[in-house]
Amino acid sequence: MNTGVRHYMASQFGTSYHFKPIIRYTSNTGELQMPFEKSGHRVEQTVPDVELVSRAKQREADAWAELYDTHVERVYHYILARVKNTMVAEDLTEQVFMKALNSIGSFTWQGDPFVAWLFRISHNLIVDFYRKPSSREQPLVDWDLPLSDSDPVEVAETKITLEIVLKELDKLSPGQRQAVELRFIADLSIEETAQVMGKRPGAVRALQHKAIESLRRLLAMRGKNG
Amino acid sequence: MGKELERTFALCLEALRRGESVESCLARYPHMVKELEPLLRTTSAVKQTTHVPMRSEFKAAARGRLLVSARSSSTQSQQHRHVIGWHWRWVAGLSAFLVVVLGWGTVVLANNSLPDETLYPVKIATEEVKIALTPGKIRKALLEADLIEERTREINELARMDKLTLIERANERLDRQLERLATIVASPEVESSQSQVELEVLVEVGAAKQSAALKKAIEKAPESAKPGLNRVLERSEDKQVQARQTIAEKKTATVKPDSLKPGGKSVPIAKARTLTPTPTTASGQPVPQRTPVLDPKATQKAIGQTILPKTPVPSPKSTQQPPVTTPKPTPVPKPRGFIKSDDGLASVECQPCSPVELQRYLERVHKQALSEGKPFSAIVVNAYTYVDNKPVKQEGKKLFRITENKDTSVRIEWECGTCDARLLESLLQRIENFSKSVMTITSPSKKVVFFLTVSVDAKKFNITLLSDKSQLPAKRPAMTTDYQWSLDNSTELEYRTMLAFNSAMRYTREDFIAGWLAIWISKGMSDEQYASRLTVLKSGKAYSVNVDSFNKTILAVDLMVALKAEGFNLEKLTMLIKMIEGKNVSWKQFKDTAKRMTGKELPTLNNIDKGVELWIKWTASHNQPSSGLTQR
Repeated sequence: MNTGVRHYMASQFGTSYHFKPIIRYTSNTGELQMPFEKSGHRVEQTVPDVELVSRAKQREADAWAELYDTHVERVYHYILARVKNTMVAEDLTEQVFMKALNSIGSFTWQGDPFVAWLFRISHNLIVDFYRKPSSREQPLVDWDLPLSDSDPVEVAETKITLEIVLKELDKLSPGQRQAVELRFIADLSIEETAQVMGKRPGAVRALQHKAIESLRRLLAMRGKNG
Repeated sequence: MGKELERTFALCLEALRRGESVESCLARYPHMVKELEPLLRTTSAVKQTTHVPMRSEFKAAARGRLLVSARSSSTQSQQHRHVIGWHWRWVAGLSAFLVVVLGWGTVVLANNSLPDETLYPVKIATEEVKIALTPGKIRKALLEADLIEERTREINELARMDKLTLIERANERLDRQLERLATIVASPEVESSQSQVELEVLVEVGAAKQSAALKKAIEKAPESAKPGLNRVLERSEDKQVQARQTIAEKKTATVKPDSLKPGGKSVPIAKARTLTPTPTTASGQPVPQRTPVLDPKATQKAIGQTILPKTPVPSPKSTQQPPVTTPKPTPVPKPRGFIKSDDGLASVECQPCSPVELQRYLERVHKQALSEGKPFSAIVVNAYTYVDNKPVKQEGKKLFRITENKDTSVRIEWECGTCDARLLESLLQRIENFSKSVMTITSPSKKVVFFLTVSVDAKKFNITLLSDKSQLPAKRPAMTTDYQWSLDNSTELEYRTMLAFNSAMRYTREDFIAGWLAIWISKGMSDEQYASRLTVLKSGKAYSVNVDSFNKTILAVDLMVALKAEGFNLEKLTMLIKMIEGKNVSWKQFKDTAKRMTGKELPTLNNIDKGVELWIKWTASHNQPSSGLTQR
């Protein structure tokens, strides 16, 4: 990885970001591979999950509709928190599912749930996005969120709070940050988070505790200074 | 304690995931409330703030595209075996030529080239090879849609680099690709698939993107280049109409014969589009399917009938019906375009006609009227219903009706388009909040007034055209606010207002933000602050100002609803900006402080007009609004 990219990634993910990819590409073709860093923890797969994914492998539209409906929001939330730009988040979310569709043939049950695989794709696409020079042209923060019928001030305040939370989130260590993103923003379970991060569930439990504690402290400090 | 807290925290989080409340979890561990509570509250806050809703339009569109891809890839493997045919010989030959003679690197480099660059022909040839190599109609259609996007990117890039003469070249190719896409969508293979609806949306999206790119280029172009580009845009819009017609004709052929009007005669597009006087009034020959004009009773009766299906998403199964070939149905007459008569009555006929398309026609009528200096008193819009994704002619169920009111105004009641019923329904749902509002746009001549009423209960829009502002009915429908945009002679503002009209409900975010800026200026925002905001605004990055899709419309309407409800509270907006700039105070804190300091509640600014007037006044004092900042 060249110095420029490293510097830019550091600015995006914090200076201590250590570029340890959770998954690697097998080649330039971009085919996804299972993580090299295995947790050793196996997650029980439910029969419907296995069935659904096997139908998805047959490119059954109904199966993909179900997978999309189940996971799209959490993928979107995860990406949005990372890229902080609604349009980019939408674009990447769609890419995640398209990529999943194209790579589903390479997916095998090796103790990893489908959702973990999906989030690894998401992670990779985010990293790819920040590698592109064009990503620097994007406004750092652009909340073009759909306004609901609720009070506009509330909506605006929500956006501002969101920015504050995400800004403080950036100050956490990469591991802590990813734990928060996967556990609370993407709403994954401990086991699923462990699979995505390549860690043991116990480590994720410790990480989430430390992360939330740090975040609470940062937000409290911000409140005092502000 | 640390480990225990970590474990308890994890247990509580699981409980919260199952739907328990923070309180109930805390009650279970009373001895740890002090440590546990802040952690759980922080977690809830993170969840609450980051779980922002997705735009439902995007969610649905992306889902559709995914499913199209899934279906096409499932059929692709079967089709793949059968596609080896004669054309593969030249495809293979051309591929080999491209790779061997030019080298793979050249082909990759060519991907980003523009029409004036040496590698552009390589790019085009590569695209052609890709299309030829892509098996299956659906995959081809998806690829064509991608290439259409690439052409619009080129147009945007050329406009940015001021290479206006080359835009036409890129656009011609885009025209052809749109036509090819429409042909694919209309092909029997696609028609019998479940993806037809989604693919039709691709045609619409491609057309909308093309228009948006060209309009953006026109907006940026110097005055001398505008007429040429306008002609390019008009030509493309004609092509878009033809593309839609290609699809519609195919559908017409599959409509059951008894739902068609017998004896109808097809009208050639070119003929229907000519600006000849309408034969209805002059010669007495009725234009096919012309709406009965000036018949309030009939209209009232018809308005009561709703044409929008309650669930507007067309059933995929409906597209699976085998085409009816015998007896050969008589095609529904398809008069398109507009015809302007001598008596000031402009007649627009549309079939099938999307709301966007209709707006374009109306815009043309408006332009025509303005250029001729002959304001018209009415527009008659005739259309056919388009139910379950099929054009069906049904007497008394036309999309548009016209009535003459006692106060001499003529009201067109738009019961709503159906070509893309899902989008429209989605818009209507949002417009529910927007009821009883009226937008009036006054043209520079002050002679033509568009009067758009959005009424919820009937789920319809009313567009009224008056020959003079003074003819606004004294008793208007119940409404809360009038938004009036008076224009100076600035071409840019003229264009923007035209754009606003063109989009009817689609007031761009830029329009609204312009209002905000005006308010900020009036309150003494420094030039630097103002300039930085306008730069962001004009760059189009922070705010999506393109009206290139219906989704933007919905956003604009949402924003309008929000601002209306908010009453354009200046203080709140200013405060929000301050917070964004890093002051990090909450609205409540700000308000309380202000109250403490001034001893009174913050005043509110309830009228957008004032802001807009200030904006116009300010821009008018600078001859070139777009570059006014540097002069200030």
